[in-house]
Amino acid sequence: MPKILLVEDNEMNRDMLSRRLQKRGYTVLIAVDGQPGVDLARTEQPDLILMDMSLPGISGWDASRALKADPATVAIPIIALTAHAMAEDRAKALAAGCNEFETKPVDLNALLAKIEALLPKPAA
Amino acid sequence: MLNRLPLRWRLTLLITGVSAVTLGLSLAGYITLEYLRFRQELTIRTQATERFYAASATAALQANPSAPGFSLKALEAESMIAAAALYSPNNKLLAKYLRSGADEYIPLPRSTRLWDLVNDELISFQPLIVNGELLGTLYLKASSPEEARERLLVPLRGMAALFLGSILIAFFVSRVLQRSISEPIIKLAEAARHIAADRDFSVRVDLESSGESAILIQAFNSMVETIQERDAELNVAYQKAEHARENLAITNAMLAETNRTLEAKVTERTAKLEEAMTAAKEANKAKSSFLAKMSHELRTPMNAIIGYSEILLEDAEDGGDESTAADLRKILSAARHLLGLINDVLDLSKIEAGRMDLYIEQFDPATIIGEVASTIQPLMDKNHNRLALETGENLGSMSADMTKLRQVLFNLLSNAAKFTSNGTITLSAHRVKRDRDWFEFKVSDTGIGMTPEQLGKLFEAFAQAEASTAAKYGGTGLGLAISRQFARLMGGDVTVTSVAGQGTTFSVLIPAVVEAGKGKQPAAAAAKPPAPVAPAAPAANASALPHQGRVLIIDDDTAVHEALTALLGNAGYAVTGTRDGREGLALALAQPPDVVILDMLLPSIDGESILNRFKAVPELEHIPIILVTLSEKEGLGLTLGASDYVTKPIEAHRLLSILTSCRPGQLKTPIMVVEDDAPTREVIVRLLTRENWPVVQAENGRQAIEIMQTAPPSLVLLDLLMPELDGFGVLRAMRVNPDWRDIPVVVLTSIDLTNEIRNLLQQQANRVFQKGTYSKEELLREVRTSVDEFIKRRSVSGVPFPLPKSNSAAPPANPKP
Repeated sequence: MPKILLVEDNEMNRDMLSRRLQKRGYTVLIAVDGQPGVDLARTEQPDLILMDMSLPGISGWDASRALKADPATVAIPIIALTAHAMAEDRAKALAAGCNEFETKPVDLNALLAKIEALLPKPAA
Repeated sequence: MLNRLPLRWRLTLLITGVSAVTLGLSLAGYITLEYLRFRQELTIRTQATERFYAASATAALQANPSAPGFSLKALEAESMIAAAALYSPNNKLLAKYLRSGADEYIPLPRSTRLWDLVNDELISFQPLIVNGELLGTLYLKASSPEEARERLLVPLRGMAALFLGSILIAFFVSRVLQRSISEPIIKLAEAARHIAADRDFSVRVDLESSGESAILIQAFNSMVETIQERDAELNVAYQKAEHARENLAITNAMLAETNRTLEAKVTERTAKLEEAMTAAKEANKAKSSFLAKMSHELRTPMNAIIGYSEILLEDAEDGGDESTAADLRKILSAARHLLGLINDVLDLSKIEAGRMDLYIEQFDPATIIGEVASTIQPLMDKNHNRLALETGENLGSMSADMTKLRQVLFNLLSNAAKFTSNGTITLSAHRVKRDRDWFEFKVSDTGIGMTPEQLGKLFEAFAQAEASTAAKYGGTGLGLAISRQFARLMGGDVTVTSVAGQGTTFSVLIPAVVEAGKGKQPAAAAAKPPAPVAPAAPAANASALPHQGRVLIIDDDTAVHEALTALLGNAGYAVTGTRDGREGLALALAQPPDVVILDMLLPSIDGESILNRFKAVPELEHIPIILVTLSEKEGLGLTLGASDYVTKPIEAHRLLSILTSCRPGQLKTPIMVVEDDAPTREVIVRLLTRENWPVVQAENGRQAIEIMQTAPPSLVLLDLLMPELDGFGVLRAMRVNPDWRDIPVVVLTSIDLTNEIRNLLQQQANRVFQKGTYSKEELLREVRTSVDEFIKRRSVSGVPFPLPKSNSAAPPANPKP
């Protein structure tokens, strides 16, 4: 089962997304801020990270940069979850090393498609 | 020496001297006369003696030639005879007499009788002749020194005394007399000295006098009086000058004060303006941060609502609970609508705040069309519409903000789907090359279409063609406004053509390569240089409306230009625009507009300066200026002479209603032309109607009054000489009626006005034009200014502006859906 790390500070968003992903068979790891997210990624080595950009401590951009700067986590694809249509947020996310982005509120089908596209193919 | 003596001494000496000379001369005369008389007496007496003794001697000689008995001793009685002798013919001395004590000698006889003038002596030789025979000669010598002395010296002594006495008297008299002459002079001199020393012109010489000195004193006094008067006048003049100088000083001080006040006012104004600008900037900043916050704060709960609804919906569907699933779908739909609304409002706010950024990427427009078509399909199916795609070959790729383009196309298509039933909606895409490389997307429907009036408001936020349409078709009414703004951000535009009942076509024009957003500024505004903005495109529908007048827009904000150009163009105005204040002034001078819309915050030269310049040029000062301001500090602009103001974002209805009140063509109350001569009236009426003024005509004063009673005009052009009731009568009638009193009157007359009549008219009429001496521009300017003032006055005073029944009232405000 692919292991997805969800870094999200908003409890409801975290709850909704994790429940819907779990329902579709993904193992979901939860981090509530940038630094725990980076730490968890190092220890747990998830298959993919869903990273909220506006986090209270270390922002999603900083966390993504840290992950992409670390050889241990550089290979893990990151999907940035950004606010609606903020061009600069998206550009910043891509600049920080994120592989893909999805605007919030999350269109689950679109997100699932992006997740599937980024997950390593028949590795399991 | 004499000259050095004081006058009174000179006078004394003169009088005394003259007296002395006179006296001396008379004295000398008297003495001379006395002497001559004495000599004559002596001569007479001597002659008498001589005759006596000659006779006696002759007798004696006749008796005896030697006359022995003859004696001359009796001559002693004659005191004046000093000596006597008797000579014989042979000169022998016969008898002689010598006065005792006299030192005399007897001379030889001579034949002469003479006065010895030296010794005052008379000497006489008398020959004694009888019958031609010389008998002898008688000698007599008379002299009387004592008597002479007595006769001359005694009176001389008395006279000398008299002389001296007279001189003395003359001296004293002259002393008195000279006073009468010298005293006035001395007094005058003293008075003059006093006046000179004390500058006391009240001094008068007070002296009883007569004659020349009186004249002199009088002359002197009158001279002093004249001087006194002059001095008084001089004093008055000096005081006046002093007063004037003081006044001048006060005026100068006041002027300086005014200057200071003026400076203070300027400073205050500048400060206010700066304050307003700062406030505007602050407000803009606050708005931006508010937007950033709100987008997060509003969306987060929406995300939760949508997300949980989706979870519940999935669960319900999985569990086969169809009724719950149906309700959840409604919740989801409503939530998505709400989110869409929120997103639209935020987008619009962002655009208006200049915070909307472009994310330029390269993409294949065909792909977008495919995506949008599949997304919109459910909406098409809902109203049984068919979607037709027309894409030109070799579209190629474009570089633009894909998300925004997708949103624009989706908006237009969903609109078309909403307002069309059982029809065909066509989405076409073509690459067109004009001045540059463009992509043109067209969305055409066969729907209900729109009237020109509806088209005018189409792109306004929250304006749907009919308030009722929102209820019927749903939607926020923001979609078109946002679509156009998105297109314009990319340097393109969205335009529309429509025929009511036949359908509508929206055209989206986007450059093939959109320039990356320049900072936070709206891309189009930053990219284009300041240049006149051409009248807007939608001419097809604009031409259907009557020409309403020329509007000049001076605003550096492209979005404002384009929004207003469309709005006003659709409302029938000819619109010219510029982003530069100075150019605006030049454009206005080249072709004076009917109204100017002026942004207060211009980059190069501020709106206030432009406003001032407009008001300083006689050809432009009458043009109403509507200010566009960011803040509510409108009072500033209005005090500067603006007609009205609108705040950004501009409310279309407010602007249109202001324009209506500004425009002559929109004047509800007409201008009355009162003139009995039909051709003249015709000329004036034509002149006014050409300028869009509504006109009502009257052939004479009585008719004018009748018309006025039902429909008071906003200005009266009045002839003076008319039948039935002349212009003066009309003026009188108007000035006594409180409703008509302030209606401006311009008198047009051919009579030569006397000053009196002219003055009278100028009190009652705004302006008097002599026929044939004014230009039509002058007349029109007067009409404009007077009507403008009249409307302002009426709207300020709250006097209800007489509105006739009219169906061209301002469009009703649309309630927001």
